[in-house]
Amino acid sequence: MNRIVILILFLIFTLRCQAQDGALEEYFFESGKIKVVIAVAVSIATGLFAYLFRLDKKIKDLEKNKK
Amino acid sequence: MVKNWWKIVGAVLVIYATAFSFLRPLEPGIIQTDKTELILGQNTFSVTGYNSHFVDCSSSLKGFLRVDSVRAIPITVLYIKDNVHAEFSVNIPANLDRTVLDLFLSNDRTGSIFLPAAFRVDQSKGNPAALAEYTNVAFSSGEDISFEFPFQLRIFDTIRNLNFHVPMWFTMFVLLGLSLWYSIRYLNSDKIEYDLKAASSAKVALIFCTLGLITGSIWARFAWGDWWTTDAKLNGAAVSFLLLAAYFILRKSAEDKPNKAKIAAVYNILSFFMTMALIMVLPRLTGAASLHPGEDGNPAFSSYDLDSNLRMVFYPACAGWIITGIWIYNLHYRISNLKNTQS
Amino acid sequence: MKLHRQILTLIKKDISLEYKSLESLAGIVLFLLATVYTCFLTFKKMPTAEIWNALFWIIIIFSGFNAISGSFKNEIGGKHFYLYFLVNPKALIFAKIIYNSTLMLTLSIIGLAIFALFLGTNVLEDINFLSFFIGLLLTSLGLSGILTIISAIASQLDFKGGIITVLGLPLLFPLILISQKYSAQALAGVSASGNMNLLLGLLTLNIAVITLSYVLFPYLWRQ
Repeated sequence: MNRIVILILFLIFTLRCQAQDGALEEYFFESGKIKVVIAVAVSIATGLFAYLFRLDKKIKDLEKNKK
Repeated sequence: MVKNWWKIVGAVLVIYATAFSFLRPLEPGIIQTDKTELILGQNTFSVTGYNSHFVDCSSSLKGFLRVDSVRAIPITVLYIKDNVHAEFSVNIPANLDRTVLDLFLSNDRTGSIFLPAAFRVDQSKGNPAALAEYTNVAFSSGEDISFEFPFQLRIFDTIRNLNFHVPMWFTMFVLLGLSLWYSIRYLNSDKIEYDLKAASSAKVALIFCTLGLITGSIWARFAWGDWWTTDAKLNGAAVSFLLLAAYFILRKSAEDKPNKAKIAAVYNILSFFMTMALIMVLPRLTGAASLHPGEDGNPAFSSYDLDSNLRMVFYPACAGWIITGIWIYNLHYRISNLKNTQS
Repeated sequence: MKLHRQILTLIKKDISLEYKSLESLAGIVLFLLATVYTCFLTFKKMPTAEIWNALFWIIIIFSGFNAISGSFKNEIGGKHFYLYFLVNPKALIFAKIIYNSTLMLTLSIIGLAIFALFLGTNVLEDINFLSFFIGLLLTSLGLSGILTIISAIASQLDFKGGIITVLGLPLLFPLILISQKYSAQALAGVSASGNMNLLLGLLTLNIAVITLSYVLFPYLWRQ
């Protein structure tokens, strides 16, 4: 479920970006493109947290089985 | 606590690398000029700098347009708007024998900063100045700052991504190697724990592969202009992603088979060697140009390939992420092991 | 029985089985004919050498999938155990690879003829035939090396829908990239010795693929 939501968000992001190239470039390019770095770091954090949630769910299932 | 020392080392390294990637400044440089074509005679142009301290060091700000290795045309400061915007004027002489000029600026703080091939001179337009005026090319050095990220055109601040994007791939390779090792051990020993280990490390490798693809895609969009480019490294990335995904589809569809683990191990070994063939051998054979550093065809990267400052952050980042990847693999394996013994 | 005797016997068995049901071979040739004709209909004019080359390899890959995917169909079920006791798995994989690569070579030559018939011969004007043929031979060998072991995997999964393409296509990537580059050169008239780099790459890849199949197949066969 988590993965699907992330995939859809990413797709929407991609489509939006292609629709308004100029505005996006302006947004990311001001002050030496530092926002691109933040986008990259955020996407790594998002990915790892999505994975943590999955791990959490797996452990919950295990605990349920134990009872 | 003592037993977990390597996890602490990993966490510390990742935190150090992330903090340094954001904290340290980028070297000063020139991002762009408002026009790229000059005419003979009087011209004015404005410059957008980066970390360039135009106001802070306004008294020592000067500059020139470089013609060749000795000669230069002096420029004068007209108006300083703020630290990164300023206007200049220049008098282009008539007897110029070059058409492409580099822009150099300097002050006490930044030293010499430059924009290569900033201007083209249109010799057919304008009123040439009466006297040809040349000065000598002279570089100056600014304040010594212990660690700065190197300034690159088009890349700018995104050079910091090096510490996020590249470690994802290194971690993926380490985990793929681990997966191969356990697959081979499974085939030789028939112990189900090795199969679980191979599957777990492949799973975590898939996660890092996905992260590497997403971060690379974002970076490529803003440095090279496209979400996906035709690059030898990208072929390898795509194929390792496809093969890892296929491995899990295979595991899923063989779930009820008695020799599921054996089939999976065979496929894993086969796919590892094909990925390696693609990544290591093919780019050299087919001679495909790569935009990535370390290969030819990318002048923007060549100057920092071996930057010792950058290494101080890049190597710890790689080591930290690899340790973190192994830690995540360890967690994943323990969970799937528990699941296996319960059912 | 010696290994090479076993291999020969197994190849003979495959040929006689194929001969008895020629319709499957005819089906693959028909597939080739239909796809090339579709290309002929969709292209208003004759394709350039680049497009010709890409089309050729894509169509050859997919007819390879058609031809080889079923190569273990006769060995599952009761026959599997019979063969398991009778032959060495190493003889079996060698026999299958040799048989399949001969089949692939035949198919790609038929494919070349069909291409020449429908998509014109102007692309083939400068071709260095010997060089192109060596490329076809080595690619058929590598292709059947990978696809044979993949079809052995698929046969253990009862050929569940489409799994063979999902597993096989990404594995074929390096092979197809090299042979596509090589044949593009051969189409432009470069001789085999002028293309030694790619040829050696193709050869190394083939050796690697066949060694891997040889080492890994017994694990699949022993249940």
